[in-house]
Amino acid sequence: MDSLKEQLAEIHGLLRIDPDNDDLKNLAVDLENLIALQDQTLANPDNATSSHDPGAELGSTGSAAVEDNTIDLTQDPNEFNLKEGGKCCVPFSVASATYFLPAMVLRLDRESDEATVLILTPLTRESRPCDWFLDGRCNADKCGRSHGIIMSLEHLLPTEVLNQGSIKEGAKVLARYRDGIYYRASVVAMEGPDGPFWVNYEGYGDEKTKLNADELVPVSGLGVEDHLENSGENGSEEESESDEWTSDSQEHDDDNEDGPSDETRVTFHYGDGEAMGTWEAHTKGIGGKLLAKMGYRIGKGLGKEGEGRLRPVEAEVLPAGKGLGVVVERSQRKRKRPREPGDAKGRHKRKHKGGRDAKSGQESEQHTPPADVFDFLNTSLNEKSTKSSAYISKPEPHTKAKQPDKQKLHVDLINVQTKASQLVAALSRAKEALARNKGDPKIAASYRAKIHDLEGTLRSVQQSEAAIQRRLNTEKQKKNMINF
Amino acid sequence: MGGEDRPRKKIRVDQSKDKKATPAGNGTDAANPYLAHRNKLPTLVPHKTTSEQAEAYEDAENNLFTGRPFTPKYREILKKRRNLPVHKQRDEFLELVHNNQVIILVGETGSGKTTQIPQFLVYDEQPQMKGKLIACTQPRRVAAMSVAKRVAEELDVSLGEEVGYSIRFEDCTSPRTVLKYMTDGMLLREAMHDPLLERYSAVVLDEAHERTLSTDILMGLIKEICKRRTDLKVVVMSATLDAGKFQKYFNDAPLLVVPGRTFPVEIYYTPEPERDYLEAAVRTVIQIHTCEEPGDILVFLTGEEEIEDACRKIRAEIDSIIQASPQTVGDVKVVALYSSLPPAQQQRIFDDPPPPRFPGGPAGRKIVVSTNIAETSLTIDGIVYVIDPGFSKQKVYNPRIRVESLLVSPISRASAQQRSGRAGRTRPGKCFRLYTEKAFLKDLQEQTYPEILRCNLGTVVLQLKKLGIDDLVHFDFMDPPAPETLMRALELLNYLEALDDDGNLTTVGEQMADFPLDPQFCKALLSSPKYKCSNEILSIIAMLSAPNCFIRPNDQRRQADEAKSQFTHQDGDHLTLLNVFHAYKSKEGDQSWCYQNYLNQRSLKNADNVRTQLVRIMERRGLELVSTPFESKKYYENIRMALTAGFFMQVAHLERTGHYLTSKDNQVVQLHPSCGLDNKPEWVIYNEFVLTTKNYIRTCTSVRGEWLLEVAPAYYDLENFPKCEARRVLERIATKNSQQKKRR
Repeated sequence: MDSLKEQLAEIHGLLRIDPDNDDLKNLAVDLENLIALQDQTLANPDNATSSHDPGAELGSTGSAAVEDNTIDLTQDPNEFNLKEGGKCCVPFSVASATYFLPAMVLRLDRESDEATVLILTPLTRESRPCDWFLDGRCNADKCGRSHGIIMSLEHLLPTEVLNQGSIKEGAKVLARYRDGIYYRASVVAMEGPDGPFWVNYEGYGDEKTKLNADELVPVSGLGVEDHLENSGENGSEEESESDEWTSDSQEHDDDNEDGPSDETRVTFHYGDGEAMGTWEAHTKGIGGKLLAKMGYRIGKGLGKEGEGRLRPVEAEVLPAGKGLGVVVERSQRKRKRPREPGDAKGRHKRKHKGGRDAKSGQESEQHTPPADVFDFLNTSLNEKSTKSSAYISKPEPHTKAKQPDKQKLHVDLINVQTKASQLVAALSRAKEALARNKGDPKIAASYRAKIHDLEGTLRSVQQSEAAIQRRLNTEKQKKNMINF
Repeated sequence: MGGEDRPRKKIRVDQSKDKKATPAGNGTDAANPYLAHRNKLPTLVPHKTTSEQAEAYEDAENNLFTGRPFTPKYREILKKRRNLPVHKQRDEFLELVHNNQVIILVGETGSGKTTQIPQFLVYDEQPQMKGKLIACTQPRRVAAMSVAKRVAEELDVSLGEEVGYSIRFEDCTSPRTVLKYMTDGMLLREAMHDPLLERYSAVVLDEAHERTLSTDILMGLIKEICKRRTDLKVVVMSATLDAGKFQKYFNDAPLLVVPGRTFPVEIYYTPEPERDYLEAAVRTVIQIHTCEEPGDILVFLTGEEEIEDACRKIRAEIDSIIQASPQTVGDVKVVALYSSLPPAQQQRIFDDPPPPRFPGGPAGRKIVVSTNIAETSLTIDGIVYVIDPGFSKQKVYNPRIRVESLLVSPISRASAQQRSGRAGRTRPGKCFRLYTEKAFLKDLQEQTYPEILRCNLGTVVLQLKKLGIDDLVHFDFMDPPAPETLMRALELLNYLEALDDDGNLTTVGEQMADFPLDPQFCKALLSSPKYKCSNEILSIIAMLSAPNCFIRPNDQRRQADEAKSQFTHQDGDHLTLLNVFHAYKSKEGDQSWCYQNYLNQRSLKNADNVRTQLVRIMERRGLELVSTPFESKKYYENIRMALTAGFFMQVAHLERTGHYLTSKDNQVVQLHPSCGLDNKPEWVIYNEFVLTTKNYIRTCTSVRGEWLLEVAPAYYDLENFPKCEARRVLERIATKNSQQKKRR
């Protein structure tokens, strides 16, 4: 704590010499934040000790345990850096969403403007903190767990971003599962103001799980409400480069402290918030990793100059047997949507992500206590995009065709009426024929059948005539309502 | 480089000694009884020949390659060859080849390029002098075989000797071969063992416009090889006029255009979109037959079933019309054409149309109903009318849900133009497009997507890795695939243990690349000795590599299904296939037995052949050929486990709701109606995901959750497994397993 303040003073000194150095400025701000955070942590020791509870599960990654083991471990007094096991909040990308997660600063490197942080609530297998490493016993390069993530200082946020108080009934949270990884869940009940809480993991049926407060983190971040629909408007990071794909990836997930970059699990994004290779959440992420290793650059295609197409060619199942014009009319209506937010692709993605997303959609409708500003932003964005997609899915002719509609109705009416009179004539002819052929049961039967058919058709024609009349009347009434 | 220089020097030495020495005569002149004739012939200096010199050899008494006198049939064919459009440009071609390493040649089907250009090269290259040969690739196996046969006749040699062919599971060449027709896939396979293609002095990539996966990869490879082998000559041949792309890709290679012999074709569009294109096609055929002048009809449809259906309808309709007015309507011969048809039946498209029923009566007509094979790769003379509904079956791969499927899709404008061109081969023709002109202009895309953008890249990545290409991201693809497709391929190979976590080829991967099979099959095969069932897995994979062996005629479905049920194994379709294969072998391939049991003898024969080839590779690789004793309870279980080792990424789980969900991708699927599993097992592996309006999985076998965890712990890592019913079930199994372990 004191060392932090010392360093802050030192930086302020340096700033006096070099007042335009942005890095230093940032650092100063960061340090101030850090100090504030530290104050807080010290003030709330209960949070830190909770992981020592006998109830805590094995392989605990609770913050206190981490802190105790690491402060001196990672401290290097020769380097000019300040680090405590201070807590902060870091952005972490999974699929298309970026979550803010509590993390602990392992090391700060002023020269490269980077910090090594350990995520305390891992969302992926690889980002789980390595207990062995924290004990100083892990020498493996690829132990499969995280030895901390190196990220730029400017990405570190104060812990206040996560409003722990927002965890209440109905809130969306990231909840710890017995594998040590945090999953999206919603709080269904709470036994006291500080827990324990009963949560329901998304897409996991109605099973309820009892968890302590320290096993829950409120959901906040970019595009976390619904992975699908965060268009370029949300989040300053994405806004700046939204024409193509954005590139706020790479840094995240696990990384050895000084391990090779190929240890990174890579997530690639499209500019419209759609992520590439979202399925990698459920694999070891080898595809993206190898792609990155081969020098793949985000926003580029493959090929010598990266000129290849970005998205795969999409399959479309056409109705069997229909001719080309008929088929294309249908598919065009479909094709029009993908350009818009909340498009067919989004839906497609939702489909293969299983019940999880669909569920989260439902839940947001059921209960939406705006937990913080990010939640608010996301909900409003989602509302907008769902609205707009609803708009698009309406076939255009509805709006356009009003004028010719009325004319058409008249024409239809005439057609139907002529048809009806023809049918009436045919019917009377058939009845006459029936009367003539009463003697012959066979012919009579066939005429009867014919009459029956004709009556049926006549009825349906008369019905459609009535329907057209009705519509014409309503059109007239509407007109009357407008014209005074 | 050196390989080419040496023989050239040799020839120069020969020339300085004796100006009349022939290239074939090095050192053996005295012993050669045909020398007298040859000495009158000009000397062929590789890369310096002229058409005159080559023609002198073609007109000579004896065959340059065999030394035997030419047969009269040869002379007859030669006359026809000299009339081909491409012949007129022989000198122009040679000059371009002499001055350039790569040339692009564009010629309509029927210009003779496929048969003649490789021969031109043979005379110019004299590959036999350097112990090399010339390769000409074809996208289709049938084409490679039939063209090789034709060219062997044209050169008056026997097929498999100087001219041969090589297709998957069949190599018909000899050490004497100078010209080899092969599928593009085969050349790619050869490149894995001969990365600079040093066996070849020239490579012709034919039908490059079809942009098959293998041709695309080959083009990328050859572009690299050219930098290192300046002596290699490359000719890229295309049937469409979009040669600019090829030229640009090959660093502005020169272009030679061979005009086809074409007549104008009138194009008709329908005024309104058609509700049912099949019915519209049949109607149009009838109209042409009753109203238009004589001339054969070509109808493009999408697949076997549709084609057979259309053939039946056309025959029925025309028969009834002929009965009604025998005096005015001629006979017809309706012929189907699709790739799974036996070669003998494919030949029927070249039959003559039926003659008039009586002297002076209405002319007969041939009606060919075909897939898009007839679009470019096959030329049928006599076609005057083309009917084009605007569809073809195309492969599409969706990396996000890992589904590769054949879907009926609208063709491209380029395809539509090709199709209409088929009508103008012998005289002015007509093309009836069963769509509106507006649809043609607005709804069709300009070019069809090349296959590389539409398919799973598993095999390709394995091959490229084997070729030593590590940076697949920057590989010079003509049309690079989407990044996600590559991601999936790398992932597949990694989980199959063909690539390690750094992307390097493992020993397993090396072995897998040896088999001309999909990686999943390779993995099952490589795992099979461990489960003591390699003999059985070989049979199953051979059966899956051959065309479907079950015949199910529309009018005898019940009988066919009954026949099939004799072989059905309750635990899965893979085992059913094994039963069929065993039965077939025990009946020694008896034809009437096959017929009685509704089995396709040709495809069973094919499977047997494939199996023999695979056995050879297994033996070469030192892989054990073993079986579990049939009496053992484990016999079928072992087979199912070995299959699981290859197909653990193609698994579906039965949900409580009664439908299946594919593992990890959570796609709702159903067992295909042809599936023999009647008890809906909890876990199934599947061979194929069929995308239609419903999602089907085809060829399924039941497996156990325990096996999945045992065989593929990396893939069934429950920590990243999506939360779903399947995960819960697997978690339960895992807990049970660990408890059992503890107890021990």
